[in-house]
Amino acid sequence: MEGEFRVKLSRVLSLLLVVMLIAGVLAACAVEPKDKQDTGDKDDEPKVLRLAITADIPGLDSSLATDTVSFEVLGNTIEGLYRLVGGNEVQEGLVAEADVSEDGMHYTFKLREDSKWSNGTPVTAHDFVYSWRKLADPNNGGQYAFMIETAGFKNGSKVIAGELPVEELGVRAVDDYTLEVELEMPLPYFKSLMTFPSFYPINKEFAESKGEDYGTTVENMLFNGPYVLSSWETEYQFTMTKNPDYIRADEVKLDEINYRIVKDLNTAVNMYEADEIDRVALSGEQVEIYKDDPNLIDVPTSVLWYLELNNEKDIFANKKARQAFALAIDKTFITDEILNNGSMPADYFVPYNLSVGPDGKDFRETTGTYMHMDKEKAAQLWEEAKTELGINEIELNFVLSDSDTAKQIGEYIQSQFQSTLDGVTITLNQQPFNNRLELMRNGEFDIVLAGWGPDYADPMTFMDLFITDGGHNDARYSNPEYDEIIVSAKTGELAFDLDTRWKELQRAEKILLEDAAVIPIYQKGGKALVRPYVKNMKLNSFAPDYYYSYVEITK
Amino acid sequence: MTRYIFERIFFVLLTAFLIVSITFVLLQFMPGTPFKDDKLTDEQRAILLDKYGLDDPMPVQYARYMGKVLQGDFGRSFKNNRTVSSMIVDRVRVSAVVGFQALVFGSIVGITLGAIAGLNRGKFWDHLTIIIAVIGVSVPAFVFGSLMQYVLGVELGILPVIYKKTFASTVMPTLALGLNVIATTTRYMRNEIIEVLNSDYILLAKAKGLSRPTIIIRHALRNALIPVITVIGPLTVMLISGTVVVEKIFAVPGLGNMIVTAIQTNDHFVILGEGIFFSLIFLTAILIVDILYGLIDPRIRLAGGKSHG
Repeated sequence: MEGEFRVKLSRVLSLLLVVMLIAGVLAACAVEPKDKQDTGDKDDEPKVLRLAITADIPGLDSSLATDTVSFEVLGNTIEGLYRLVGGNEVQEGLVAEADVSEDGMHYTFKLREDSKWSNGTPVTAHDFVYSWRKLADPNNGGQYAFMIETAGFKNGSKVIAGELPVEELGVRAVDDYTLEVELEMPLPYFKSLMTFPSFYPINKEFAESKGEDYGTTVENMLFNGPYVLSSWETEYQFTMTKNPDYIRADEVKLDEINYRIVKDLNTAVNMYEADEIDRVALSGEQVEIYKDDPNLIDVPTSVLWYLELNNEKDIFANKKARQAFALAIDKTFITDEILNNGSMPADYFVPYNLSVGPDGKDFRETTGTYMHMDKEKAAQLWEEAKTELGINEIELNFVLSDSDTAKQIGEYIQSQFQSTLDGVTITLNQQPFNNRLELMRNGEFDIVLAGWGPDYADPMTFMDLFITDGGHNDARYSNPEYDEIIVSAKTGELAFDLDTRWKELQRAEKILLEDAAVIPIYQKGGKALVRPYVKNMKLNSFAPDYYYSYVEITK
Repeated sequence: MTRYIFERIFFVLLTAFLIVSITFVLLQFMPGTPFKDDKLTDEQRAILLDKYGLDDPMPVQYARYMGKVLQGDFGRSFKNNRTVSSMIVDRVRVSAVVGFQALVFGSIVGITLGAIAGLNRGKFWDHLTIIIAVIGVSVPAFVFGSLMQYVLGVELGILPVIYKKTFASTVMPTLALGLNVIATTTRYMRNEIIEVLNSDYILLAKAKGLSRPTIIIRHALRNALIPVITVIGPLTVMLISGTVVVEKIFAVPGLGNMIVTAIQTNDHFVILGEGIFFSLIFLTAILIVDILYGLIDPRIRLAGGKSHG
C-alpha cells in the first residue's frame, strides 16, 4: 500500500472528527439561551427565590400526602386553622377565635370569613370536616391517617380501623364558620398539631368533582394560602407565585418561588456555584470544602439518631450490659469528625428546639442529660454483666443503613465497643432502608442504628415510642413505671395537669436513658449555603419544612 | 424473510412476558411496602395493604396484573397515583433524545476512531485512539459527567450546568452517555478493520489492481461495519443503564430517574411497567439488528436463517 495515501486517509478522517466536534460545540453555544438577568431597575425586578429540591411533588391531596415535598407545597399554598411560621412559632391561620373547655377536650373554633379558594368559593368549616373525615376514612387509603389518632379525635381509632363510619368522628360544623372538635383526651399540643398539612381544609364539591385526579395537576387543585402553585412540570420543576387573594397578602414578600428538581447533591452545589439557585444543602464532605465560606449557615433539625438494643436477647435483658454499652461511646467524635455538619452529640432523647413547656422554656433547658461517656465504668459494668450472664465473650449483629455516613458511624461505634468492652465482637450488617425497617420490626438484630423525626411539637412524639408493645418499640423495651407515666400523660391524670405532666415526662426520659434500652447518639444538624440576600428562611422541626410568607429577598 | 421476522417478533413478546413475570415474582420478595413504613405501625400497614390488594396471594395479584396489562392498563404509581403509561410517555421523549444523540454521536465518532486506528495499526494514531478508548471504558459516566459539569458548566460557564429543555443543555449528558459508546465502537471497528484488511478478498482486490481508496471504501469499511452494527444492540442496554447515572447528574427528567425512584420506594407497578418498556426496547433493538443483518449480509439471506447472535 502506498504509505502516502494511507497518511492522507488518516488525515481526512481525523479532520472529519475535529470538524464534528467543533460543529457540536458551536451549535451548543449558538443555541444556548441567554440566562443572564437584565440589569434593570432593582425595585421593579420581581423577587424570585430559586431553589433545588430532591424530589417531585407526589400529589397535593392533603389527605393522602406523606412526604416533605408535598407538605412544603401544601404548607405554603393552603392555610389551615393554624400555621407554623419559621422557627416553630404557631400562629393563627384561619382561626379568628378559639375557645377551649376547662377539661381541654372540647374546642370551638370561629373561622375568619374572608378566606377564599382560588375559584372564588369561600373556605368554610365544612371544608375542615370533609378533609378530616377523608383523612380518617380507611377507604381513602391515606398513610397519615394515624394523625387522626395522634390528634385524639373522639372515635378516631375506631373510624380509622373502619369500625365506625366517618360521621362518628369527633368534629362537626355548627355553621359555615364555626367548627367544633371533641377529643378523647386533652392535648396540650392540639393547636400546634393543626399546623400539620394533613389537617388542612379541602373543598368537598371541587375534590369530588375531580375524583382520583384531585391534587394531581395545577388545574385539579384549589389554593387559599400565601402562594398558589402556578406551574408544575412533573419531575422537572414547579413554581409557586404570590396569591393576591390571600387574606394577609401584604405580609408576603416574595413574588415567586421556583423549585428545580435535582436528585444529585453535587449537581445542586454546582448549580449554586453557577448562580442558578439561591440556597443549597451541603453533605458532610462538602461542608469541609466550604467551611470558611461566609454564606455557610447552620440548619439544625429535631431529628434524633439512636441505637436500639434488642431487649429480648439475653445479653440486653441484662441491665448492666446495656448500661455498659451506653457508657462506652465517644459521641463527639461522631459529630465533630464524621458528620461535621452541626450535629450535636446527644446524651438525651427529646431534642432541643422541639417544644416549649407550660413554663415557657424548652424541654431541654429544665432537665438534665444522662449516661455520659465513662469508659472505665463501662468496662467495669461489663465485667459484672459477663459474670451474671456466665459468658466470656459475645458476637453481636449491628444493623444499620447502607449510606456512607451510616457506615462510618457504624464502624466507629463498632471500634468503641470492641475496644472498651472485653470479649465483644460486633458484626456490621448494612441494609437498604426498607430492609433495615423490616429487620427492626421483626427483632432480627442485636443493635440497630435508627432515627426518628418528630410529628408535632411535644415531647410525647418521642416519648411514646417506647411504651410496652408500642408500634415503633423495636427495642422491645418494657418498663411498667415508664408506661405508667406515658399513659397518664396521654389520657390519665397527668393529661389534665400540664405542669406536672411536663416534669413527669422529663422523669420518664431519665428512666428510659438510665435503663439504657436506647442509646441516643446525635441530634442531626445540617449546613447550607445561602445567598446573603435571602432573609428569614428557617427550617421548621416538622412539616412544612419552610414557610415562605416572611422570607424576603433584599437585593 | 417475512416468516423469519414474524417468528422473531413472537419470541420478543414471549421473552418480554417472561421477564415481566420473573420481575413480578422478585418484587414480591422485596422487603418493605410502597408505604411510609417508618411512621406506620403494623396495624396501620395492614389496613393499607388490604386496601391496595397487596396482601392477596401472589397468583391472585399476578393474574390481576397480567389481566390489566393485556388490556393496556399498566397500573398506577403508589406515590403519585398517575398511570404508569402516562408517566412513561411523559418521560420517554427526553430520555430518547439524549440516548439517541449519544448513540449516533458515539457511533460516528467510534467508527471513525476505530477506522483510523485500524488503518494505522501500530502507529501513533492507533495508540492514541486505543488510549482514548480505554479511558472511555474505564472512567465511569458519573465521574466524567461530574467533571464536565464542573469544568464546562461552573468554571468556564460555556454550557448549562443542568438540563433545561434546550439543545445546549443536552450536550454534556450526551457526551457523558456517549463516552462508553465511543469506547466500545472504537474497539470493535478497529478489530474488524484489521481483520478485514488481512482477509483473502482484500488480497484479491489488491491483486486485481484496485486503487487503495476503492479497496478501503468499497470493501474494507463496508465489511467491517457489519459486525459493528451487531454491537449496537447491546449498546442500547449500556445506554439504558448509563442513562440512570447521567440523568441523575444533569437533572434530566427521564426514565432513568423514574426507575431508580420507583425501586427505592417499592413502587411496584412503575418498576414492572418500566421493566416491560426497557425489555421491549432492548429486544426490539436486537430484532432490528438481526433483520438488518439479514438484509446486509447476503450470506445470511441466502442461507435462509441464522443462528442467534
